[in-house]
Amino acid sequence: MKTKAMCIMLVDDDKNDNFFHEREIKKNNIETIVIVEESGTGALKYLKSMIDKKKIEPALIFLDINMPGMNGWEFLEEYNNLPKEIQSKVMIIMLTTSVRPEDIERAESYEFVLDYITKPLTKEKMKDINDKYFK
Amino acid sequence: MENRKKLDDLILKNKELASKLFVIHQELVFQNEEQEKRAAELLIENKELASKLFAIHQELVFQNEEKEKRAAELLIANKELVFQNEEKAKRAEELIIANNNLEQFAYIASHDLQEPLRTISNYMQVFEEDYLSQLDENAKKYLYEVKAASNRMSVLIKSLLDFSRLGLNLNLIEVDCNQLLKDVISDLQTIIKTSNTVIEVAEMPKLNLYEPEFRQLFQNLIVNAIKYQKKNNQPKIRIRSEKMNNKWKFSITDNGIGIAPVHFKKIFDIFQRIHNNENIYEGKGIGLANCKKIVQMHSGEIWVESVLGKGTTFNFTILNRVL
Repeated sequence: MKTKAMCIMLVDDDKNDNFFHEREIKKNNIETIVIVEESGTGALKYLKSMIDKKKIEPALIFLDINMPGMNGWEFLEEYNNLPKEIQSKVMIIMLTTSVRPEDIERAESYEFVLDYITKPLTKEKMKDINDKYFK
Repeated sequence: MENRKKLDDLILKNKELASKLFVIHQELVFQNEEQEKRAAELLIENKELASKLFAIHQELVFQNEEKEKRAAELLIANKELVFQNEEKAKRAEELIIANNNLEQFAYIASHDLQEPLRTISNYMQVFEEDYLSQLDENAKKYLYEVKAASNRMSVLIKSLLDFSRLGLNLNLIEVDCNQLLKDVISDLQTIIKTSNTVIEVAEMPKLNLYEPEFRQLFQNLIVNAIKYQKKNNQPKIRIRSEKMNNKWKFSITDNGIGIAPVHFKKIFDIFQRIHNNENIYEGKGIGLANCKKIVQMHSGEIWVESVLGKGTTFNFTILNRVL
């Protein structure tokens, strides 16, 4: 049985990871819409203009931590200041190489961060997320 | 006539008096001589006493000088010790910094190495998914080897990362080692049951330890004791503890394949595996390096005793630190 089609945003500067993660996401459901933003600022811009410009609203964001310019933590701080209307539509999952307990703890301190998973995102991990948060 | 008698009497009396006076005089002369003798003796005694006193005085002056010299020497020695202590403290600080830098380096190196490796693995998978059907048997074999090598590298990098992170955020707490071992054994139930292992644990102390690290130490050693076992042999493990002065000694004895004496030191080095047949004894080559690092965190030592084919005993000591 296919899961309901949804929109997912990848926020990661690594093109190779984005390519692979999109593939894995679509293995679960080919109809999933994947939006790729290669920087935190780009992602914020998208989210801010999403309602006015009637863009597709991502239900889930996979956020990398280690990015040039605005890193994942800085993105979370900015995201926290976005209108609640936007925040209420989106959930965030950290998707990173880091296994540092400090990073995991820090991610848990944000109430809008759902989960913390390590790269790579696989078909199986995506299925678990679907089962856990989107059923 | 009368006068004559009187005169004779007077003369007689005079003579008597003269002789008495002479006796007295003699006596006085004698006494005088005696006193002079005594005075001379006293003079000698006095001189002797004076010279004795002088000698004592000299001795005291000498002793005093010696004491002052000694005090001055002690003062110098003391300054030297203070200096040496300061140098040692400085050196210890430098070592801590160097050690931290090294750990930081290992962490960053292993973390950053993972990124390109992940890209390799991911594209290997993509390639396999999209083009495997177009490949001949040779090409498939090559692809398989590349995949296997990148998986091994990934395991190595993860181990290195774990090793470098070991000992960060240390937290000393009182641990009942009886309970800790019960927990470790319960965590290892699956492997213990499938291998039909018997574990005998003697009375264990309560110590102040870095709990998660100490748990990992026991877990590694127990898993090793089960893993390095002759085929179809029931693993038997004995765990004991013993107080030695201010330290505690623990030992884990198994009836496994044993270790040759040439490897006794080498096995505790990182990425040193003594079994080249990975299929039988699969190991990452880091378990015992982790054990050594954990024991060192507890100011102890780890060593091995073993007879090839008979079994192995891992011993380690732990300092019971004050909380």
